[in-house]
Amino acid sequence: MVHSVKTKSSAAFLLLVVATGAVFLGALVLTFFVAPTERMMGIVQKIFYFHVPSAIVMGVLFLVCAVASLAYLLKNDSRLDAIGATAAELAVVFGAIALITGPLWARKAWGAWWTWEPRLTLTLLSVFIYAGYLAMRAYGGEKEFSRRVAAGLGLMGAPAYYFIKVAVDKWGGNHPKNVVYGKGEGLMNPDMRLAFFAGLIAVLMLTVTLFVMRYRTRMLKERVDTAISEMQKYDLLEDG
Amino acid sequence: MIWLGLFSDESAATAAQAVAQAATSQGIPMLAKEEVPGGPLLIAAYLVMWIVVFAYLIWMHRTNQRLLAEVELLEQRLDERIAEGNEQRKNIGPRGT
Amino acid sequence: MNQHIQHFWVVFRKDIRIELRTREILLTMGLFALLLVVVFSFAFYTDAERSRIYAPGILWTTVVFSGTIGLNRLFERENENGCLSGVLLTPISPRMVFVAKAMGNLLFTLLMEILTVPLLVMFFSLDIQPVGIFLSGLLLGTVGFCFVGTLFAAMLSAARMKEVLVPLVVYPIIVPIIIGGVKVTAVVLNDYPVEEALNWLKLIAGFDLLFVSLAIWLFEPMIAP
Repeated sequence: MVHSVKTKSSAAFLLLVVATGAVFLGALVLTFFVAPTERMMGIVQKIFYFHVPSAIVMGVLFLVCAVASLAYLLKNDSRLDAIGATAAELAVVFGAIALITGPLWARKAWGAWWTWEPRLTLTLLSVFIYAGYLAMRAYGGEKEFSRRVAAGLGLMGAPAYYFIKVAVDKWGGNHPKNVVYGKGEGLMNPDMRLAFFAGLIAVLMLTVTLFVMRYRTRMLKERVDTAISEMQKYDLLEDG
Repeated sequence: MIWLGLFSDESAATAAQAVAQAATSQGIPMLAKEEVPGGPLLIAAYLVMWIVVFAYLIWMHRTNQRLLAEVELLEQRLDERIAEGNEQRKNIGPRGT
Repeated sequence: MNQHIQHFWVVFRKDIRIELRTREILLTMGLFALLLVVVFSFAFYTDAERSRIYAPGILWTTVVFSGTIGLNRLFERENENGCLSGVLLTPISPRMVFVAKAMGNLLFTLLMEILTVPLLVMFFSLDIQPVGIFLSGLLLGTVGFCFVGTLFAAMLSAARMKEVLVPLVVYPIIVPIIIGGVKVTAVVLNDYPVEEALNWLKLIAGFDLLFVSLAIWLFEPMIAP
């Protein structure tokens, strides 16, 4: 029984991996061969097709982490903790991607590696929050306790994200942001739009794949840790 | 989600152009457009993305290896305990007399 | 409710009494703040005109850095000899313990500010205009900082790395307070339009409202399932 369930789920996972690869390939084709090269910035604008999806995925993962953290604080189920921690970890991964590719794009488009543009600032600060979440779990002391503390932080992260957004938008003041948020027609070219959505779906699927892998490892570790502590309780791990 | 604002409100092109203008007016040093090659930056960006993802995968793999080592230790100890139990049972005899 | 206030008062008074006997938090925090102001003066002071631009940032950095010292100290005391478990075992609800602790931190941080702000005004020859707006910005900002900070300082009081972890976790969350506080201070130092300061005060007040209640609610589920 158990065996057959395992096979089915790993087949589904294999399908997910293959599908992710295929969608990524399709997104790359759309990005480089279908979407036209942007007039003002040239080829570097193609960073957009995975830089922006990474940032979107990061935002979604923050929300997942906050909801899972709240549920964990209320229900005390280690699965919820694993979801929250995995989400925070991947949020840092995709936040890092967005933060590193952003300046590469900005170098060409804005002429400077870094500007304190509100969304860039917001991304940086939210990555700090979730890096803090991970540091808390790693160095926060006793395991069960540090998990609860991290969950508190994970829950606070979502409203903090909102307030930081409001604050940095206001702080921007007469900064570039006014222009970026100004009224316009959106991505005008339908091919560009298509490439963007393909990129978004590809990055989302990559996230789901990584999430499933990491979540499973976490739950497995949970079981091994429980087994070890059970055996320690009955002195079964000592030699002789 | 934050980026949807950009996506729906304005084309990336005009936005970037306007930002560049604003940046110049703010006194942020601007480089001549021709100076910066776009291609290498794009390649660097793709490299960064995949390096980050693969670094994460390798890190995950290492976690798995550690987990495997722990499971192996558990199995080994379990085997030892079973062997010990058999030994004791043999010594005591089938009826425990 | 009346009982809650009584409980709050018991814990709050206990901390004040210990502090009055040892004076360790106020002394260390005050000296550190003083030192920071002096160091910043060396680093940034050029003339009275330009100091108006730097002063808001210096003020808030001083407040936040020195405040962090106080945060860590107040719970460290409870951690010795397992006092915190003792306090939590009393019929006083954990929430009231937290509120009392946060108010204690607020009091100490405000006292530190009473020492720091006049010194800054003197060293940087500042002219604060209207004082009311400045003070409300300082007060609101300190309230939010102390509640969020006390929550995590309490949780991490037993952790080996708490000196690093507490600021690492607290600073990004209170960024809106720091930005808002700096902006409000900039308004009162430079005679910018008051409406701008009011907008920022509203933002800080909103932050306080949400995060103070969140911190009070979170304390109990965070310490134990």
